[in-house]
Amino acid sequence: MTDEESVRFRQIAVLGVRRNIRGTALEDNKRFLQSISPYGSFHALPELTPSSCAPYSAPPSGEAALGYRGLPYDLLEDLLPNSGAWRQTIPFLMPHEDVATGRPITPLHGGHVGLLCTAGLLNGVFGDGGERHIARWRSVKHVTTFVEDDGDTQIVHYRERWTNELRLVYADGRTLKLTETPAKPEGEADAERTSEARAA
Amino acid sequence: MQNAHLRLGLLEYQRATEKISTRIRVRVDRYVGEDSKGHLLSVFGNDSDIGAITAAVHEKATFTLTFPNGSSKEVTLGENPSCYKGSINLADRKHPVRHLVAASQEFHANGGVGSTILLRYQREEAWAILVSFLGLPGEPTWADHVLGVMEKEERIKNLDGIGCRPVLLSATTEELLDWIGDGLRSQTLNFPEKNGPIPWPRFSLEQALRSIPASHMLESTESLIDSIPR
Repeated sequence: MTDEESVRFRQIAVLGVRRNIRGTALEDNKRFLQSISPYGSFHALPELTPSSCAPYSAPPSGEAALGYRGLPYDLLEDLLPNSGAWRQTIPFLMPHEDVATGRPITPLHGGHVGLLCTAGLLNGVFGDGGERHIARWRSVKHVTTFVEDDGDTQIVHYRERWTNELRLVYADGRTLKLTETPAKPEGEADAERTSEARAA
Repeated sequence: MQNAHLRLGLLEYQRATEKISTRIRVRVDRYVGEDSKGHLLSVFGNDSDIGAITAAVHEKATFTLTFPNGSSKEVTLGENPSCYKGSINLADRKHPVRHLVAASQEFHANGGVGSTILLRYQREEAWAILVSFLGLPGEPTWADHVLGVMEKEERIKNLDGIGCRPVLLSATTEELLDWIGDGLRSQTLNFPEKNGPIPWPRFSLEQALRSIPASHMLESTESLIDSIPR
């Protein structure tokens, strides 16, 4: 009990031969165990020396079969990345790029082009000369919240709608954002250009 | 891999009512969190345990999370979390192991308010995610420039993680477009020579989940700051 490991882990292992004890001897044993049970009380016990009692030789036994009936963590760790739960999280964990390539069977009408653009299938590089740019479309969800008073109660309404947004970056560094709202007058426009202070 | 128990965390949920006391412990294979706010939680266990944890997540319960290094923390996924369930069949077992991935509302709208959370930080992948989530007009070779600016401006913050090395990228679409504009103006960035679609490399989640080396899973959060690849 004074061993370094025993003090560190506050544990001891006691081995012995079970005997049938009755009457006052049993009560004495219980009383004695209770007296040494608080932590640190065992310091009052005399140290057990090798010669204090006859050594007990453990009888041989058959081969012990150890079994593990819990979850196989190693196997599960390898299988979990294939789980269906992870596949459902891909939209907000990994990038997704849908680009339509190939030649259409018939020439595209203006409406076709518009549909493909707003679906984000015609992102890429367009234009000539100084107007060359990279275009990228995306859908943006807008949520409008308004509160309606109905007597003593308030009813909160959420109205969701989707709009399309186009962002452009030109070869000369200009950037532009086009949304459903009309362009603002010059000076207040949404068109973004790197400020002189930030320009390299 | 062997010794998975050294890389797994432990999630404990305790609830005591007048008559019933419930204590559920499940293993955590992936976790992403910031202080007491959990963003992503992946746990597995038996049917009843995972069902109870799912209900607790929806009830905005607080869990005790023990990390593989022994430290523990009280975490919650907050309001309106999303839960995704899966099953894994094992050959020698009658019932499948249930798998739950829970994501916070913020993580579900990843990239939405100028904050983008990644499971790991690699420039090419991080740039592809930013372009995809924020709707940026960009090109794959611009990753080094943009992420270099973000690293310089200390916009990359390490988060608490189990089984991954998560980071938080803080930048709005406007800021990123400013940096792209700076790069094009200074000719640090090259504009694509040909018109047409821009091919992007494909990244798979399975590959990302498997690629995190075991040694990194046991590192403390602080030491990860120095290990961000340049």
